Amino acid sequence: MKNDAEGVKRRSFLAGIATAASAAATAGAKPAHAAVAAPLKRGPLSPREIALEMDPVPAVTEGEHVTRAGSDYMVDVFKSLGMTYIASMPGSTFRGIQESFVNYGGNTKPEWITVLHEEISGAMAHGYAKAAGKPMAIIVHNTVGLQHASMALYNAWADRVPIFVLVGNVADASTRRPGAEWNHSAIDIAELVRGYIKYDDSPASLVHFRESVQRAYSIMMTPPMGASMIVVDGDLAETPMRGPAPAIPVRHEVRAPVADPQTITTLATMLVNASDPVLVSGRHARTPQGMANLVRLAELLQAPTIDQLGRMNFPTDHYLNQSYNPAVIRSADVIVNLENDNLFGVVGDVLDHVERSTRMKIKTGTKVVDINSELLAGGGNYQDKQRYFSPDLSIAADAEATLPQLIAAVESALTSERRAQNTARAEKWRSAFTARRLADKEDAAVGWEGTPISVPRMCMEIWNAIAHEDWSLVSMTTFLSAWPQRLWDMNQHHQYIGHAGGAGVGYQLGAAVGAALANKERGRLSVNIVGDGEFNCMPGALWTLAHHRIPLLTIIHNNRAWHQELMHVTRVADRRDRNPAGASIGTTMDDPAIDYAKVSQGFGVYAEGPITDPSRLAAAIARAVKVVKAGQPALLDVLTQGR
Amino acid sequence: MRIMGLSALGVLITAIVAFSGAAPAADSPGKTLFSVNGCTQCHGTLGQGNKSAGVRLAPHPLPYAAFVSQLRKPRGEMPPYSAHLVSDRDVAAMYAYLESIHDGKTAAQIPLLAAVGFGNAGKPSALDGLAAGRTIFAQNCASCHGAAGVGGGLGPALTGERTRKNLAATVAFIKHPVAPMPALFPSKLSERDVADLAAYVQSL
Repeated sequence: MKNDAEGVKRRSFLAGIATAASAAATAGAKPAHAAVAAPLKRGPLSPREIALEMDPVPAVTEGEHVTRAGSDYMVDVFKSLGMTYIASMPGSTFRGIQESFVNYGGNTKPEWITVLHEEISGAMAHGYAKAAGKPMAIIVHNTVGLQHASMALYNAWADRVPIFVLVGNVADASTRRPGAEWNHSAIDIAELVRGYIKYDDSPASLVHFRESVQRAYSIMMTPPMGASMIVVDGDLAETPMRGPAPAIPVRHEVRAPVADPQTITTLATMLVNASDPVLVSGRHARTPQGMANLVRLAELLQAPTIDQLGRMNFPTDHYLNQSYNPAVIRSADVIVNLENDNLFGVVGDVLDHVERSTRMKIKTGTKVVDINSELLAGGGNYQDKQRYFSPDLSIAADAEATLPQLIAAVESALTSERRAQNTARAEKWRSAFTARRLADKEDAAVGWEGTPISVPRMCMEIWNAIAHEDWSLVSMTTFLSAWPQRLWDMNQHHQYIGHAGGAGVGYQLGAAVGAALANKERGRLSVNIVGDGEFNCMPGALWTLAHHRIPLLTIIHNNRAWHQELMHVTRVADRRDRNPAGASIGTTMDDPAIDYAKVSQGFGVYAEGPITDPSRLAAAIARAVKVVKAGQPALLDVLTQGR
Repeated sequence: MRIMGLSALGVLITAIVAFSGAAPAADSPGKTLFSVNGCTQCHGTLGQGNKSAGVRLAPHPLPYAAFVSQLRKPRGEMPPYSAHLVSDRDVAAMYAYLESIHDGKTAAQIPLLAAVGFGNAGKPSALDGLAAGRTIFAQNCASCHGAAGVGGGLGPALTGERTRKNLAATVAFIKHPVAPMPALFPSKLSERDVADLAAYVQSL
């Protein structure tokens, strides 16, 4: 607005209009805004009033420039968070702050990352946060943009990953441009996603914006983590700032919740006295130190550890990694569950029979302990909590933050006699680990020369090309039968980033791009093994790789199907004694077969494929790795077995 | 219709014939049936199985009676296949296909797998005198009995087997198993192999 007087003049006028309408509707009731409104007008608007509404007093006279835009201050506030990137597909509602980010803010910290779809923004931020160990921001257009992003936000919610979301909106209906700006605005824009974000606010002033942004960041980063969203009002962003800029306080990191000392001592005693203690980790290791601490605890107790692969929790080449040894749970007398959201799945199964049945895996008397920040999360519409099991000791705390104290307590409680038992325990688990590795190697050998290419063959050819690099697997291994975890030496926290969380298809490629962006900062080779069904949700993410020169090796695990669903429908057909071949309708993608190399090349990314001959795979991977090591993305389409 | 059509091919396979050579017959009726009936979805086109959907079926499939039993009245989460869906003749054809899949290279013969180490557990030979038996177990038994005999597949867990059978009884059972366990002696395992294997099983 040109000046305060004019601003007040226009606001008062509009309030008067609203009051007049209200008064007309309530016929004699006292106007709600009578104290601040202009003199009450009754009856139809005069021609002058209509003219003024249709052509209101301009905030800035044409020909004058806006200096000190509100969005410039917003960018200053945002920079106080120290975030490196902000991803976005364009949207007119946030044009003001976009211009401020790139011109006023110098397009650095955060740097603007361009994507082709808002779901890619969300998935990128999801993968980036896990790989970088710090959050990333996205900014989306109101209603339609946020609807696009919502799937990715749900995955991040279920995976307890922080994303800072900015969303444009225009609250003041009288200032919206006609057409799309109306269609895309909402009374309560956050309502679209409130069921799966941690915090949101719609600041009405710049001071309000400053306070809510910093609050949003702190809440987002408190375990259990999750996205926070701040609405950027278009008027607030584009209106010139009045008076001096409000000071921006220094922000301090939140300390994660830790279990109380007495409870830690109780748990340490349980573990030390257990004959067969077992540690189970879901996504407890947010940092390298989190993984190192779990190894330390396991070694102190010589306790087998099961990694549920929500994060890189435990080295795959450590003999105490007994993730694929079902005897471990059956024989356990104490099980400690660390940030794994499916405690029931640790101790029992729900079998996929015609009539679903439950089978318990633990023996009578086994004590179960749950250290889980999940206990601090609220409930809602979405059923992301898995079936309930009542543990013997339930600790509402962050497991990673609690482990140092637990380790100290265990060290204190270990007697020399108990320590002496560790030699025999270690020998037992070394032997079990070796037997499992041998069996896995032999299983991988079966069908080695066959076509379609076997999944372990594909995984091992990749491993052979990256083992001597500084590498990071930025994709989940659920549909690879976890062959990388079975046969690769994965012993650094950055070598795996976990899965989608919410199992929402569409996560993988976007998350891999985000993680590769994080790894690019460190010169690390990122590898993404993605199913064709996943890939097809967001192939446009390839363009962002090419545009921003993000090196990423993508291997398409191409079984020409949504294979999980194909197996499901076949199973149901068999149970009903009906044609199993009918299951291919609606679950396969082989007519026509999609040419992923052409798709990739169309987005500006080097690609080869389809590769059908296993003997050609090694050379193709070597060529692709060379491209990636030169700083560019590359893609290989590999025709594979279903699993 | 596709299933009935394939059943009507007139393929009568009563004897179990193992194909020789480097690969199974390219387009055998059994191979086609194995695919169109959806078996390949969980067990792979070569019956190699995988850790997340279906157990290994080849090479060395279960004895025929056990194979039919698992197909008609399966244990675990596998759905049943009735004679309406897969005729006895078709089952025989599929079994013939699985039988035709012979041993490929072992892990030790594949450089990429041979190079896979044992992390900080140490090499098997450095642990004890059971390395040979452990390797034989991994190659032949683990797909049903689980790695280190912990169970998890079609076969029972073998941990603590020494409390149920002594060494001689274990040797005898390996040589003359009760269905569905396949007999690998003497066609695949030698006397020495059986002895090493039994010693390893006794250690579990």
